[in-house]
Amino acid sequence: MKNKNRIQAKDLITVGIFTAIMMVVRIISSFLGVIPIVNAIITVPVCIAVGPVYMLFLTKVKKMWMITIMAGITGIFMSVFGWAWFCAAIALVCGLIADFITKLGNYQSYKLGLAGYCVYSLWWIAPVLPVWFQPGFLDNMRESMGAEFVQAYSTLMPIWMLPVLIVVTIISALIGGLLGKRMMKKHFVRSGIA
Amino acid sequence: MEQRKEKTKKGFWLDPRSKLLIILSMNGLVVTGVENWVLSLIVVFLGVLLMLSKYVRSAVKFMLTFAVLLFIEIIVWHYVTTGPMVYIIVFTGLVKKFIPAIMSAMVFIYTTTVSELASALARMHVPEKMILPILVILRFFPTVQEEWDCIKDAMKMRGIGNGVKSVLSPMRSMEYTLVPLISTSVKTGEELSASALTRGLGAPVKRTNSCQVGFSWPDFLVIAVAAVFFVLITF
Repeated sequence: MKNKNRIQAKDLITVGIFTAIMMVVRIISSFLGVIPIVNAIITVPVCIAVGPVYMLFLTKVKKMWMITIMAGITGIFMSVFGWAWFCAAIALVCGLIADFITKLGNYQSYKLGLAGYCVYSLWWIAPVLPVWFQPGFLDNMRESMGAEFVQAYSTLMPIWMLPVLIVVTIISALIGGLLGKRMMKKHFVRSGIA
Repeated sequence: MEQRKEKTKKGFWLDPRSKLLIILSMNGLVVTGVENWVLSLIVVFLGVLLMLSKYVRSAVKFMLTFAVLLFIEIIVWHYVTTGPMVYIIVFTGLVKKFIPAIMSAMVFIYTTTVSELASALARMHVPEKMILPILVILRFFPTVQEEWDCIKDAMKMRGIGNGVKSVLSPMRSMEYTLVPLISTSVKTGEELSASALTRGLGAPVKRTNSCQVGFSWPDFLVIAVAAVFFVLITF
């Protein structure tokens, strides 16, 4: 009985399964990012597509740390597959905050879960951050991509784009979460997996 | 068990940890600008690693792709300097940088067995709570891939999901693919979890591993090369 609130092997397997599904969905939906300008707002399709999976994951989460572990592992895998290392750190922090928010509702409240998802989704902005915060990033880009492109890129991405990106991400996470709720009602509850 | 050990030890074999180091040393690639000769060296190095692990065909495929991209870039760079052609360079530049990342990930995934990885992670003192999900994920990727193919087949059979219609209503095609994918994956996952638990995965003891990992001379060589690349990329 004492162990009831601790994470057990079964929970860890659940975390693994959902992380895998989320990652596959992510990779598929982020293929759009190959188009150069779209990769700035790649958060939109990704957050919408991942939403249903995340919402289903929440129905299985009943304990603290599960979301954090999921976020941390996702970050590590993304770094392994070629993202910058700080993305993993940001993912971990976002996951932790999301975990706390979801815990406020005792892992039962839909609204707090949705809020948690919005916070968690924010780490998707991480790959774009070097444009503003890493000195010399644009110079590097000028070398590899040409001055004209950088010109276009920097007029498209002034610093005020950061709050805009955050808002856009939160909105698309909300859409994803609501979509998840609808899908859950329509499919998953009926087939007994939620 | 003995048999498998012999098979993994025979021939060219790298410790999972040194393969992880290779991947980490490539990590700066995507954010920093790298000159073409460094990138080419890296691709050749990873190609040789893939070949030594007996994946000659994919090694050749990647190296050829890289060479073609490089060729296109040089041609475009020399003859066209303005206009929409610049976007070709942007595209090749992006793909070119991802090739080493994909290749190093492939070296890792193709040549590492799950128990080798578990053993290596345990010796790196990664907490058990992280190791288990990671193993499940690696075990699960092929399953998800399989389900994905089945779903696509089923959709084709019903005559939905391909062509203009699916592009025009992305929400609906997302529902058609996501819902079955999630349902089957969750079901498989429950079975996996039941079977793992009956084999004593949840037991409150320290787990041991029959698979031995350790560094040997190819590892030191590879680590040295990876360190050189890291320096070249970062500075």
